[in-house]
Amino acid sequence: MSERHQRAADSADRTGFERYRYRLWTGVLRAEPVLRAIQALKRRERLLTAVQAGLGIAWMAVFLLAPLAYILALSFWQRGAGGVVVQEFALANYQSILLEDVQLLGWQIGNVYLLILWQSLKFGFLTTVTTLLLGYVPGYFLGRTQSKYRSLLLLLVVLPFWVPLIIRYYAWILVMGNEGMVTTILGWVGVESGGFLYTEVAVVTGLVQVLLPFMILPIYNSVAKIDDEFVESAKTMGATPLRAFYEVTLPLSLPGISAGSILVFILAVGSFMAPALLGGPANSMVANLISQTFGESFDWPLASAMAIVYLVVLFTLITVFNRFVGLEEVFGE
Amino acid sequence: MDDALDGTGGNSDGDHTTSTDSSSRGRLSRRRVIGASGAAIAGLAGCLDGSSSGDGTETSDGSDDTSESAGTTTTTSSSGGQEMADTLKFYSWGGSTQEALTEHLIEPFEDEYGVTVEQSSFSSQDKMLANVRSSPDGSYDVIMPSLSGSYNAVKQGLVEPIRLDNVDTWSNLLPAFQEYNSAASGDDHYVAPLYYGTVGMVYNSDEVSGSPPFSWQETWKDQYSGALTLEGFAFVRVFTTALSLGMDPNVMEGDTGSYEKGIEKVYDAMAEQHEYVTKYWTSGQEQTTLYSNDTAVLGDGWSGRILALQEDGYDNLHYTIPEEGAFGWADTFAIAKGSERRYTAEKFLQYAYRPEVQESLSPTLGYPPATQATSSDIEALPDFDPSGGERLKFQNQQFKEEHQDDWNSTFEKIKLGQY
Repeated sequence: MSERHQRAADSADRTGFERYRYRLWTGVLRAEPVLRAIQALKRRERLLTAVQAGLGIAWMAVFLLAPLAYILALSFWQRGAGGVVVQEFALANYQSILLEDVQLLGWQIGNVYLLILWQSLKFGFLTTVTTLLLGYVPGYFLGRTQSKYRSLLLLLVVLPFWVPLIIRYYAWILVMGNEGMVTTILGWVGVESGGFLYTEVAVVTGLVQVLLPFMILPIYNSVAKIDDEFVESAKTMGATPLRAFYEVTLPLSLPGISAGSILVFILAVGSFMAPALLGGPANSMVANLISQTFGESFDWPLASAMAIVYLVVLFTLITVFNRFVGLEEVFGE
Repeated sequence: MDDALDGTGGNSDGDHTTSTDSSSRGRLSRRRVIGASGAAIAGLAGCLDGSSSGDGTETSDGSDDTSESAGTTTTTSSSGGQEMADTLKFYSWGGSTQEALTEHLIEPFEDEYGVTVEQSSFSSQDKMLANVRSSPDGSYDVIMPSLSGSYNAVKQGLVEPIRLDNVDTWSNLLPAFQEYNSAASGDDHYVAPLYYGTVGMVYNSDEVSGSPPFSWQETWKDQYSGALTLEGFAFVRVFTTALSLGMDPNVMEGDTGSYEKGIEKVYDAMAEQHEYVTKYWTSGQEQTTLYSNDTAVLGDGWSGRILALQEDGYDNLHYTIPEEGAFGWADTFAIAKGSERRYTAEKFLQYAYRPEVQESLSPTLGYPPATQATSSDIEALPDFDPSGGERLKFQNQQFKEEHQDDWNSTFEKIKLGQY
């Protein structure tokens, strides 16, 4: 057989196969049960929604709720010799993290977990306030500006996400370290300092830099939605620009502020890398303590109890916040 | 230096631990055998094995071949017999350690035995153990716990005993390591030490005057306030502090007469020293950063990291073992639970203990080998111990297990200024 013949036979084979596959698929798709199922789904919108949402819910159930349930169970078990988990129900873990070294009457709290949890909430609060102060103006500007560079500026806000977190924190080590930029510049003005690395300032600075976009973007979003006419009519009725901002723009941008604050607060309180890399000995946060209990001490039950308490505290705080602000409003319309 | 490695081993033979010795051994060998074969008869044999040798605690001098071979016969059937597998799943430290192992151990081993070694790596001992614990049996063949992690690994049943009969080169191991039995696992050996080192003193000669031998007391001088960095694990802190107070760190009594009073003295000293500490490091990367950018000029560290910094041109950084001695550590190979390639893993250990392998591997790693292999390069390493490991001070892992809850929480309090 010549080469040409060979090739012709090959292509004939291929088209034959293609045709077969095509026929098979149309056959399957046009089969009565398949058609009927598609039609049924199309007709019943609620079922369709359930299927679509179900995928997400199933994902959460398998990868979030199930591990959480396991952690909850683990938190009531005990650590045996060498870090073995002993499946014996007891409240000892909760007792040790909540009640040990706590004297309520004199308000003396020497409990490491509570102190570190308190410290985490404090860092979370400081970070939230700072990002709000620093983030409102850029968010407001981006929301109001008619500049043709707006998309470019928005891109700049999210640009830091392209650099891995750990590299950004390491950069801060260089900036704030002994011979870093901050010390050098302060030295020029005649201020002697050993740098701010390994202090509370360093932790909050690092967190603010990393979490700022989470504040700017929701504020931008809600400011952009404010109808210009509201502000204009306030001004027409004699309000100064400052008063128009205070009475119209600010209240209308509140959902953005709340959303940003909640995002930043949750992410900051649970931060692990910032205190580990930028913090000093006294600046541990709850994630560091949990990781240390889990790893170094190999006490999985105690670490689980710590995680559960942390979760409950955070959940309570957000619920209280919700009472005042109304989260449905924030994340809804 | 009198509290050498064999001293530590002697501790675990002490009167008060004998009973726990035998009971834990019985439990372990039972679990091992059941886990490996599931056969009731084998389980019974395991019980008998454990209890019959339980009263003979004095066998920790290395003459344990008889019961080891008994272990061999009960477990061989489940582990694929005495033949080489095609692959070996190897889980080691990452970074420069992994590079050195690949070049000097894994590639030559693959060439000689025709086995493909599939590598994965970890950056923290704790995460590695957690990973092995939560993975299905047989996910790994050879893992790399440190001596201090091996206690937990054994207690949690994460490792299989090594059948010394299959490791012809076992006798190359330094006697101190042959005797060391961190988990008091009786006659069973679960870890094969590969190299050792210390947590010694690091100093910047631009800022620290004087020359070795230094005392650990140097790290309590207020002139280094804000420029001191120390390893951030409570068990290393209490150990080193006890050394500097002239106490035996595995008894922690000194002249106080009791552990409670002794440890209080140690905590007091730690709290005093804490005032000068700028940062407690927990990784090699962290200590490198701290010393190289002058944030710290004095503290402790690992010789291999300082050696690497010296090679990068930091001539002012030095590593020394203070006169009181230093915390000794070793990284080891162990066979992961449920490994189906135990025999191949054992041949891998056998290969690793060859003198020529150690002679090329050890200088690249920067740490002296746990075997008797030696060369001028090895002798030049900062941690090299001419006495064959006798000088090294290891932590008694049972002692640590007993007290580390308290050590951890007190150290946290010290760090928070609440002690």
